[in-house]
Amino acid sequence: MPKASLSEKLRGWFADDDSSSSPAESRRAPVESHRELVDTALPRDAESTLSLERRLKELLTHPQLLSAGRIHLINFANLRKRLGDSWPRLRDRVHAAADRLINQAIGPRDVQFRNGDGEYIIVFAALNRQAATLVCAKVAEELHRLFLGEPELSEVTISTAVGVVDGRLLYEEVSAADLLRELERERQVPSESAAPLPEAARDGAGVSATTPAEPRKLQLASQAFERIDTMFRPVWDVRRQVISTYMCTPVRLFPDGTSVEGVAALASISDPQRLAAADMDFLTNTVETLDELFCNKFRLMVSVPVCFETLAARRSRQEYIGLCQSVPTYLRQFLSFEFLRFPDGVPNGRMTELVNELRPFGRRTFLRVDVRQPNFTLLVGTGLTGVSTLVNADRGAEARTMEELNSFVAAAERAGLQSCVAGITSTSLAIAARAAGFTFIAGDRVGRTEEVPQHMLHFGWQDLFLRGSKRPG
Amino acid sequence: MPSALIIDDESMVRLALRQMLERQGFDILEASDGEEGLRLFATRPVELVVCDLIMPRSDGISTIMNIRRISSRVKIIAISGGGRSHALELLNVAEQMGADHILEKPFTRIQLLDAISHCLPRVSTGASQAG
Repeated sequence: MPKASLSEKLRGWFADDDSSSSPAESRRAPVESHRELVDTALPRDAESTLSLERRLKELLTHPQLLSAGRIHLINFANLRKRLGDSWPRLRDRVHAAADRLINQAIGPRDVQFRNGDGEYIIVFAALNRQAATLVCAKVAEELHRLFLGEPELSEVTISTAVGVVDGRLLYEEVSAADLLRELERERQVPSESAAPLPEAARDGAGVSATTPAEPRKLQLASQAFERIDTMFRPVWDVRRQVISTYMCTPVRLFPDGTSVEGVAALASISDPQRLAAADMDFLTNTVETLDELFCNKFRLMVSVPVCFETLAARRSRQEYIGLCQSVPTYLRQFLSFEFLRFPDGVPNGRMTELVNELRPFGRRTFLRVDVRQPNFTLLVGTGLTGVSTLVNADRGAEARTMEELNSFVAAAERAGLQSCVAGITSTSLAIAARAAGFTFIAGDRVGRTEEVPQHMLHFGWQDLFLRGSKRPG
Repeated sequence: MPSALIIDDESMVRLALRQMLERQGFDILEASDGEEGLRLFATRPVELVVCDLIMPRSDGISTIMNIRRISSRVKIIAISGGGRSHALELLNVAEQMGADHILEKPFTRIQLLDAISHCLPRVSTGASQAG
């Protein structure tokens, strides 16, 4: 017997008038508060389906919610179909990405939950129908973009519960393409009668939504100091015994003097537009610095980070590529790109496409991956130069890290990729990294981050051991 | 009786080395990493140190450099091969940093005895008859 979809279940639950709670009783029963009602609809692992159904039914029979057109279904059947054989392997990542995107998009009083493999239901507490539908469309679009590249928007559909007919929920289905076309039309002809859209939907990018009931946030003076600076970290080319490359490294500084760098410095940014802006800052700062050094006869390579979010969205990618096109040709041979925040399992074709977009503007492309990622078969033939990783500085964990380094390089070599490791803080890890086969090594033991990179210089094993963590020169 | 300090994080390697060296009449000390090896060496100097290079927390090259700072007379044999590649490159670095002899793993008993003969000619290893 085929499994019922969530929409079918909803229709079924609504039609099925169980004895314990008739719709009339439900309507008569004191509905404690909107907030409480929504809270109780949140699913927990331990909750039985029956309990969830009962609560959902209460929610659905609440006329205020239903009439507002706030219940929406996003169906990812098309995404699943397009992913084909990759679906079983990517399923968890798709769900994780969908959870993240939806949670970013909805407000604290909204509810979302997943049914099985490909359906999400979202109940908006405050957004009007148009705004809520647009938020759903942006979520669906973003998810398709993450896993398939440019989405075919006409294939992305959103279902909205619009009323009850004969005790059954009535849904209206609309394609994301239609929704976004409508949005564009309204932009051109502002209508006083049109309800205000969430910021994300108005911007046509990102998926965060604001609601009238958004909780207050602390406005701390110290937040002004939480800035992201561009620094440069030397990378040791062990085979050539030279420091010839610097990694452009985002560094987030805090008022207490502490800092985090690299991917961690960007971790708190979830807005794709802010990430894209940061990426363009890194590229701009790097190229301007490189140009100045080049004019002063310095010769060195610089690797620039660029986040997946920037490349995944067409608008920010085009903006980024546009900036790349303005890089003088004589500097491109000194530029490399390091892809950050790429989700596991980006399809081979998608990766190839992104690599090819940036290859004309730099000499190498590296992909930053987790050191425990043992399989790079999806990267074969994509044009990537190599994979980079960051290791834990915990000295107590060095034995395990050494094993991970061995597995990492073995997998990279099988895929025909070079390998680079950052976070090397001890000579023991540097030796283990070289023994494992890494050709590029970075970390405090090789050299700390600097405001301006230097001319390439010889750096041998003796420098590593005798000069400690300080850079020669 | 000559004494030797074996520094290697792999217990099986330490056991094999202990057996080979005890047969040559060495009194053996063992350490599972560089820090422990350095502590042992500081409290009880030995004539010979056999030191692995790839070890967590304190690597073999740093250990050899530190032992060399304490004693210029002790003979040091660096051994390596635990990684996936580049053992010889690292062994050459160890030689530059103070090792008297290098051995790439896996090595035979005769190769070890040859190395000892090279480092400690006055210790009879019978290397030429062995094997």
